[in-house]
Amino acid sequence: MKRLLLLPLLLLLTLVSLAQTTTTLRGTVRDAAGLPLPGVNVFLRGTFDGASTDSVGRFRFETTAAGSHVLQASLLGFITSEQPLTLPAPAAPLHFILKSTPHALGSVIVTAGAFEASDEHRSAALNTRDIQTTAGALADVAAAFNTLPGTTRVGEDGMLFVRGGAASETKVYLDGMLVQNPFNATVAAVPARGRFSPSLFKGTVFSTGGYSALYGQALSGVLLLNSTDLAPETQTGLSATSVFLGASRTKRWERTSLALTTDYTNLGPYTGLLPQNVRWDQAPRGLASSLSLHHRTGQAGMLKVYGTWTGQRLQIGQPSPEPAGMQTVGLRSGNAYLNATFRSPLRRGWSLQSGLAASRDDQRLRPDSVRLRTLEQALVGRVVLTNDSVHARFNVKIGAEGLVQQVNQTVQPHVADPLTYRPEFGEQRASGFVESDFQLTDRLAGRVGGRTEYSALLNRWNAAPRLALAYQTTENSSLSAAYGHFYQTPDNSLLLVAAPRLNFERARHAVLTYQYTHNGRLLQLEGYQKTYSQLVRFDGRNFRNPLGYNNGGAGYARGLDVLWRDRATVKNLEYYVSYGFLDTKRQYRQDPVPAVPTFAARHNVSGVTKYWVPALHTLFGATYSYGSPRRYHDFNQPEAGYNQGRLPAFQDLSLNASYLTRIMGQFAIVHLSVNNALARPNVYGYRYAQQPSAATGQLNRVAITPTAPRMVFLGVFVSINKKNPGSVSERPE
Amino acid sequence: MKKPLLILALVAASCAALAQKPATAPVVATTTAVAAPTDPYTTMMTAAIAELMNTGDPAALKASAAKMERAASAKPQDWLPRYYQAYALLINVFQSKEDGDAKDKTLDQAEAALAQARRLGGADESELLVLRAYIHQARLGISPMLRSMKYSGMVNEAVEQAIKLNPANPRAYLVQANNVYFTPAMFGGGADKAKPIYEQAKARYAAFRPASSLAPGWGENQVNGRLKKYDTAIVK
Repeated sequence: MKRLLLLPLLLLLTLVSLAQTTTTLRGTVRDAAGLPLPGVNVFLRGTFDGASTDSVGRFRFETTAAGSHVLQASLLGFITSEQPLTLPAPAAPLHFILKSTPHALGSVIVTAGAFEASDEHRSAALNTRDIQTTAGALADVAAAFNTLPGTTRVGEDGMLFVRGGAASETKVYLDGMLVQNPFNATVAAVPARGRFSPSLFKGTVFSTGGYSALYGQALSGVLLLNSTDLAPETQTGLSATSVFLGASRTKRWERTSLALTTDYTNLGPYTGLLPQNVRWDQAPRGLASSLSLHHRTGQAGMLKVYGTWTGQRLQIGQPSPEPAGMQTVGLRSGNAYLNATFRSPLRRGWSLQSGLAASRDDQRLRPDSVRLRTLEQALVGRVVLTNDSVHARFNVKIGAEGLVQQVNQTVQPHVADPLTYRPEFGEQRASGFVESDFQLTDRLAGRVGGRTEYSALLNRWNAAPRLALAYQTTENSSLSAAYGHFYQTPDNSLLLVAAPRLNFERARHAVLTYQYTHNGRLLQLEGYQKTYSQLVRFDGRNFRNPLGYNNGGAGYARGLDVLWRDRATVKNLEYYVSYGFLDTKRQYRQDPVPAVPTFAARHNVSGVTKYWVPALHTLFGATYSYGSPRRYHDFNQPEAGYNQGRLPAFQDLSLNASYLTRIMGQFAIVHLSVNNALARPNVYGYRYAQQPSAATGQLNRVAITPTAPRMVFLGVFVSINKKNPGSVSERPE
Repeated sequence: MKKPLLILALVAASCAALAQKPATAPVVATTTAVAAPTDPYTTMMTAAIAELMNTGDPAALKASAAKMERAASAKPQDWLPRYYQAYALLINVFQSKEDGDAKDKTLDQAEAALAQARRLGGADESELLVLRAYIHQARLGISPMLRSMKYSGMVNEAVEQAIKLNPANPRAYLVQANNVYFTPAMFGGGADKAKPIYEQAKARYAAFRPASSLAPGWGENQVNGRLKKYDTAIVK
């Protein structure tokens, strides 16, 4: 039997050797810059004969093919190169040079000025879960981004203060649509929370400068929120926490998903139990509901409708420097927001993104005997056309935006006096923009664009050029720069008094960034220079007089931001450290001279860590924040100069823990967090009395502090009927 | 019986040798009951698949992927080389000691190859979905802490679709069982819950007949290996 086996084998071998001559093909493959390319598949087209290049770009293989053939070298990201040859070929080495695919548009990314939180882009500084699990942020988007460099923590406000800019200089865009009132209404010295839950978003971009021409109306930065597409599965969620109760229902069909949520917030029991620094006549309470309907149209089309309604009220008694010792502020507010967007591919490489958003925000404030109602209604429309295949090396985006806005205010200086003022304004603003991402060489890419806006209220035009360049210095590092002009319509409160006299406020940004990212570690260094002009000024002693208003203000901000993130060194531990140095001065609003604004701290440090303990199924988090002394104006020491007082430095240590478990067979998260765990008595400023005290001859003052020494949050979140509970802690083979 | 088999093999091999001279020998079509390799492409693919299935070495798996890419150039209308290219890259990710970014890049390539396979006519949609699910599982494995929420669901979705299209596909049950196996018990997974699915996979493998000699047939050993572990665990 064995012999029988051998015989055909022998025969086979003879046949093979008779029929074929073996040729050895060898050579090298390099890229356009002359560097050897490893992993290139070099082979005779139409056969299996070939080899991959080694680490120095060499290949070598044998073939028995004869006649005319094509030798092909291919590697993902490069244009396939080919050489015809006749076999058996001479033994001379063959050389290939591969050019990178020209449409590797986006292979070099402009990082200047932007932090991204995304699960899709792996280079992103944060992922969406980071926002939800950052200790101290309590799942608030703005609070989480406040731990990044370039921001100053302004504890009494809660919004984003970017690089020496005021809160109103950072705008929020939801799916490309400008949101007029992105924060819940609040009263002075009670920090605001964002209106939108971070779980709505698959990606968030926070730009601290030099942002794209697609966005405008922000002198300092933009926060771009991109909502998730179809909800992954049908489920019901219930939450019970120390401050709110919530329920949600998500239903998923083949191409459609619908999610409904409702939350009832009441801080009454909580503020009764834990010590507070203020007196709550009526602890914050409110009801919020939302609806989100997503429908996939065709292969890549998506229609999203998101609506949310919030009603809330509170009344607070705060320490006052006046003899009464307390001042009372009440708030009642209602907000409705509806956002509908549609995106779809069109013909010839064009795609469409469009949207319409309507908002209505009604706030009734009662500071002591004053009655103040502000009603803002706005309608925003936007359309952007993008063509990614117009050319291999650049794309084109063109778009337009329209806004109709009506703001009405009713001011009653004293509740007993029927005298009321009714300032109001109506704005119509149109914007047009064009932008192109381009890739000049393998290593050099950029973005160039321009934006123009017309405001009917101001009766003014503006034109803002923007440019950004990125250069890939090594495989893991890049250098990028951004420059641009940015315009913003003055705040509502200024427009209500003096709209026709005013012009756009303006800033110029120049940003230079170095980024190194490798294997779970990221280092980002960013230097910036921001120059303000046309800032609105008015007479502080007579702020109701429109004639005192002009655009004569100016200022600057410059500094260095550093971010170091490490997800790799210690298993299950991730941390980042951010440091921002800020040098800024401005003269605007009622400032008599250029000064450091009260919302700017020269040094800002944050350390954020998260540690997952698999055995306990618990994620632990800690955030430490430091802000160097902020300025305030000391009315008792006018001789020292304007805004020369220094607050104590800001420090905060916040801790949290999320325990993943099952409650009655359903997936659940138990979350505990403590903000300002050490109960450090931070001071955010002082309130001064109107008249000097008879005893001392000085103006009495009281410190503005957080509403409570610390904030404790305990919550249980249950997902019912979740088909695919996550958290696989081991890899499959 | 052995003799005719050998002769057949001999004929096939000679044909293969002849056929390497471009467009000379016509391919002999055989209609024997035994699914013997007949044309050089099938011969080479059979060898390449065997090579791929018998290695766990990351470098060899990359080489296998490259070979499959070459095979795709030899027969551009066939979805199988692209399928195996994706498979080789995918298994490479499970075997390699590279960092997460490099693994993600490899999986990007696997997804690209899978997309190419999908565009070609005649592809077995159920098998493609299984591979897609498997790729999601590999993505998850790179960073379970961050990704399990997202990818565990995607694995299940793809597997369920694969089963819907072909309930007899044993690989769908294998990937599903792995997904359950590596999900901690407190999240509704665990070894105990995975066992019946592995057993179902085993039963499906027993009944499974590949559509052709080159069609996907992998996974049976993995199922047997897992089930064997259950036995030893009980002994302990």
